[in-house]
Amino acid sequence: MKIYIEENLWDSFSFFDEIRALFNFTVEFKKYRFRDPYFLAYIRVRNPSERVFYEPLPLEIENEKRDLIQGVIYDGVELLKYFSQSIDISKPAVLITNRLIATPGDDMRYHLRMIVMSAAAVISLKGILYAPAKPPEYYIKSSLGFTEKIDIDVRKVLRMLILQFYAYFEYEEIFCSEKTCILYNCHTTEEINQVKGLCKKHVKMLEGVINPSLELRIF
Amino acid sequence: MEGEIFAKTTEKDVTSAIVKSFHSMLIEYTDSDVIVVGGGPSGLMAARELAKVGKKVLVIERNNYLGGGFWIGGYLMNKITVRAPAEKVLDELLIPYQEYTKGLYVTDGPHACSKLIAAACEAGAKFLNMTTFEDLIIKERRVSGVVINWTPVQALPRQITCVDPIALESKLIIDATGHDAFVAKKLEERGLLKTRGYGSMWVEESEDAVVNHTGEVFSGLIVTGMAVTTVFGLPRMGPTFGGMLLSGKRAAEVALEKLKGFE
Repeated sequence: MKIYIEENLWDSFSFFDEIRALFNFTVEFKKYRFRDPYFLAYIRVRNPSERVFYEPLPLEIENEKRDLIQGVIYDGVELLKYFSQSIDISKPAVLITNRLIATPGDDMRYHLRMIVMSAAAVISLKGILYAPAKPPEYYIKSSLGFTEKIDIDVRKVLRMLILQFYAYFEYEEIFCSEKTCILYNCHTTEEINQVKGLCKKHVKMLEGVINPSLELRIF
Repeated sequence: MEGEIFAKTTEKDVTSAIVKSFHSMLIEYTDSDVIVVGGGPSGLMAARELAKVGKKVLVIERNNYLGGGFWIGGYLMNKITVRAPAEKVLDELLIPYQEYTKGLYVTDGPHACSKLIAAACEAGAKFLNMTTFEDLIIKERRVSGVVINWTPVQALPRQITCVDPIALESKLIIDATGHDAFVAKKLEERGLLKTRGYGSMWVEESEDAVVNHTGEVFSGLIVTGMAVTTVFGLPRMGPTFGGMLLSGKRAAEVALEKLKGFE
């Protein structure tokens, strides 16, 4: 498995050992850089309720070159497509980025995502913080201008997402219906807190692949 | 006479004092270095920074009062929040504040707003309030002035149609008209720019985004403040104002750089 870390995140990324410890096989880490600032500026999400792309302004392209991308959200499908076309996807490959990614939901509005996956996967570290729905108090305080601390175990969620992609890539297993299973598709912080480890079915499925000491209660 | 406090004057002198001084100001500012459209926090900040270094700056404000939303924080409560490093602007303007949590500061809206207005005035910026921006002057694909009219003209009955505006020229225009981005939208009407519309509120990152995207979006037009979110499709900020102040400063920096081309 190859884990690509976006270049601007590499120095501050602190989960190398945790990811390595997940599997019985070697996980290779590599730096990744998007080579096309125009494309990144082009695939920005502009309107939460419309999937439409605009010719970028020169300042947007300039800001992409300089990584001045706070507050910017990217279309996750397009970002994943670009990433997938730039690497070898015959083996599982994941890009970990600090960019925020969103994809349209059933309501046709964009929703922030922690992960977008297909033949490869893009995981957004920032998305792990912002995408899951929080308790109502968080939004009330935020709306009044107060920056509320987001209480999420990033390490736990990152490992969950990588295993979810791996299960999908190797076994075509799309999530688990057990709320306590690592492969459960969590949408809220409460759901993340309920996850305890792999369920029996998925322990069996991943037997021999994941680190045996982690099988029953990964976290 | 006993009890008489004020100097003697006549009605005609009062009237001519108003007319003459306004007239001479308007004549002088038919041509400026920079016209700032919108007298909210980002517009005032940009005007102050530019006037402070000797640039000829005119602020157009459609309301009678200046300050935009800077008088009041969220939910009609008149407390203003800024996040570090914007408290340095409060220091600079001698606005008292308190640290609420690490890096988050609270100040009184009326105090902060009146100080910012005073700072822009004292720096030498001039103002046309009760004045509505109507259109742009565009020459050779470059913005080079604004078309304005009195705000009350908009409220006239439809039968009265011939109330023509006037035009003012300037080297640069700054769009500080908030979410409406009126100036940028005028370019959009002509197919010269495509604004994206602002997204959902996101206090934490939108302030950085607004400051980083403050800049020239069309030859001669700089956007600042919440107009930036509309032009670039960025999240809006919520009731916190540091981004407005720093965006105004950034707009002034960009303008100063562009003005070098006219020297």
